[in-house]
Amino acid sequence: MSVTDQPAPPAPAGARHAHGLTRRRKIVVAGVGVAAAAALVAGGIAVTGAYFTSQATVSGQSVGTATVAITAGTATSSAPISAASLLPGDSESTTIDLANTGSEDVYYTIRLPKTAGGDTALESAIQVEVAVGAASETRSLTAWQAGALQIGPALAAAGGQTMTVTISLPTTADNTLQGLDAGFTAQIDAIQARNTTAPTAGWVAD
Amino acid sequence: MPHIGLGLLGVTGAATLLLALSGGLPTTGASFTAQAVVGAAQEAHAAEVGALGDPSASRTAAGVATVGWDTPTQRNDVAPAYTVRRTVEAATAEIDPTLTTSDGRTGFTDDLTRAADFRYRDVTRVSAGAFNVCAIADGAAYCWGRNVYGQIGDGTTTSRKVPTPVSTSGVLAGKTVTDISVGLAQTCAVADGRAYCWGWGGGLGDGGTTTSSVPVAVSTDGVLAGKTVTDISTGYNFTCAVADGRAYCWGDNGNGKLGNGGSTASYVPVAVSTSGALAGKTVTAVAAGGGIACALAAGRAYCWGYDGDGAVGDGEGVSTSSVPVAVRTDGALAGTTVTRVTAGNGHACAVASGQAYCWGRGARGQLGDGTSTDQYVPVAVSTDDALAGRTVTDIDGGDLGTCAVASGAAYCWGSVELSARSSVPVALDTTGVLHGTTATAISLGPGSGCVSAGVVACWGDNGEGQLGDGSSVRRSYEPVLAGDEGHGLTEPFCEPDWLLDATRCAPGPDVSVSYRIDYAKRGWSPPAAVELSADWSGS
Repeated sequence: MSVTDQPAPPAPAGARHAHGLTRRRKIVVAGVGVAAAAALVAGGIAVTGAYFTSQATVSGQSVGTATVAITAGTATSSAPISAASLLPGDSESTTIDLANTGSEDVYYTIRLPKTAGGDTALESAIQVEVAVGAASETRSLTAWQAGALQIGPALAAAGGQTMTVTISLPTTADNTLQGLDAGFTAQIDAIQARNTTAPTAGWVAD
Repeated sequence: MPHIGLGLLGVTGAATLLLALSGGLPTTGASFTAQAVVGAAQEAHAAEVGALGDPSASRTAAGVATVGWDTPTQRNDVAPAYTVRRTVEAATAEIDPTLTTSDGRTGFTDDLTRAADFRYRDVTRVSAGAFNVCAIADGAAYCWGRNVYGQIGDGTTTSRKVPTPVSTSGVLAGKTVTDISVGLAQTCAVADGRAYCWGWGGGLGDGGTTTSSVPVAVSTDGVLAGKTVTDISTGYNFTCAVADGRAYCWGDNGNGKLGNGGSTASYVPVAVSTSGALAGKTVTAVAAGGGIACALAAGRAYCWGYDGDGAVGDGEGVSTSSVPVAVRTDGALAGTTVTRVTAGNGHACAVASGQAYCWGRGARGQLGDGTSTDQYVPVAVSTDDALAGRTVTDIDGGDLGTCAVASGAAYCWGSVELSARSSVPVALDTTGVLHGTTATAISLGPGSGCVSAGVVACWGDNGEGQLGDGSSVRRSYEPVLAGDEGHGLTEPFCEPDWLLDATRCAPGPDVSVSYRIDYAKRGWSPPAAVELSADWSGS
């Protein structure tokens, strides 16, 4: 606390009787013989007349929140899947880089929302495998719409992870699938790992 | 510690409030969350396997089809799996042609020909000798079996196990063979009214004693000058022929078998004596055997040569006769008309009024009368069993047996290499190659025999390939076909509207040929297969 030896400004009129403490402080001050007058001391001390007052400030105290942020994009060494003439037995892959750009470790899930305009029959036939570390899940694109792949280990703050997405058309794919289209994106949902119960890895249905 | 529900969200930098993460992340109250979506979509387009473009098909007179189409361009990295079905007339079959690809086209050539079927030609004569057999088919001579002396007449001395053409590059060139006969080691034939022989020298009638593996002309400088030969028969080292109604013989003359009254061999034809029994008779057929010869004249049989076993048939049976004598007709042959005569080796037989008669040596049952007794005069072959009610039309005597054709079937008796010896006729097996056939002629040699019945079937010894079936396997009971596929006696033929090319048949212009071509890539096929006709482009 800092002490400033200056005459106290006159106290506001309304403040003089505002609190019983004011009267007691006045008596005590008179009793100790301190020659100072103050009408009001900041912080709620009411004075009557002029007083010497002082103020001390403790600096450097601050409050901030953590950040949870994640990014995902096609790896520079890869390219988005763009299969123009799939035949039964064909497969194509792409590599996606995940990055935890927040300040907290995160748990995350992976979804594959299909894009509009696709053909239902092909979406049901085409198999999509997502592989992240030791975890992998293979389902038809249609089946992927009903849940997400939960990754067990947390992605550390500032950490990264590679995800591989592979599409394949089964050798048993029906002749009627010729000329059809299907498309999807990859969506990653992350949540702070701290204060979150560790999830069970694997497929989680909606 | 409770969390404030304000998250700093990392969706491309944008902040979004999420109260809980979908997908089951466990949360308690509010949490900081974030979401990222990969910007570029993942896209898949299934291939479209298109129909084959610009298909074409044609075929030639030789039966070769050429089929082509545009090579599919979709997914060139995956080879098309083609399925090709060919329909010829009403028959459809899947084929596996060798495909070629060039200049954007894929196709194949397809051999539409089929192996021709074979059928026997018109076999008019068959003659079984000692170790080889000859036949006439469509006017040409074919022989098989032993060929040590060139008796097959093909210009070699190599034995043949299948019917082999007699050379026509020499004296037989352009001639039509009408009769043929095989003896011990020589063969003679009649072609265009003249006699020709080949094989062992000394019996060829050409004036010399040189063995010949190709036909030589029997001399016409002498008694045959200007005459037309119509019948010929070769025995053991001698031959007799009929020319202008008279009999002539040449070769060995032991036991007077040339019939000219002498016993000296003649290397050119001599006339059989007509001063005796044949005086004024017109000879129509002649038969030479082991040591005897016989002739047919005016419905009667005449024989000459060795008569020790009564083979001359005049009832004497004690000597030889170097001139023809009449076979007795006061016994079994009384009132009959002889139409065929044959000379074996010590016995002779005839067909008279549809029945068979034999005389001479009978120890092996070769007379067919149910005995093993020599007969100096003709006896009737038994008609009690196999020949009952049948009409005999042909007969031939071998060394120790006799065979005949009766009512279209073949019968034999004596020792005929057919089965156990029998002194009465037994039928030739007809459960095999002779099933359903009609026999027309038969010939029996010392160890084998052959029957002409639309097919030529032989049985017996086969050590020299004399059965003509390509093997050396003896066939004691079941006759086998001689040269059944493409060996002289048979000819290739095709179905109607098909064209014969050597031994192959090609579809003619009136035979429909079409193809159905389908393909798939990894099991995916176009909506429709290509179907097209292979148009005829022949001339």
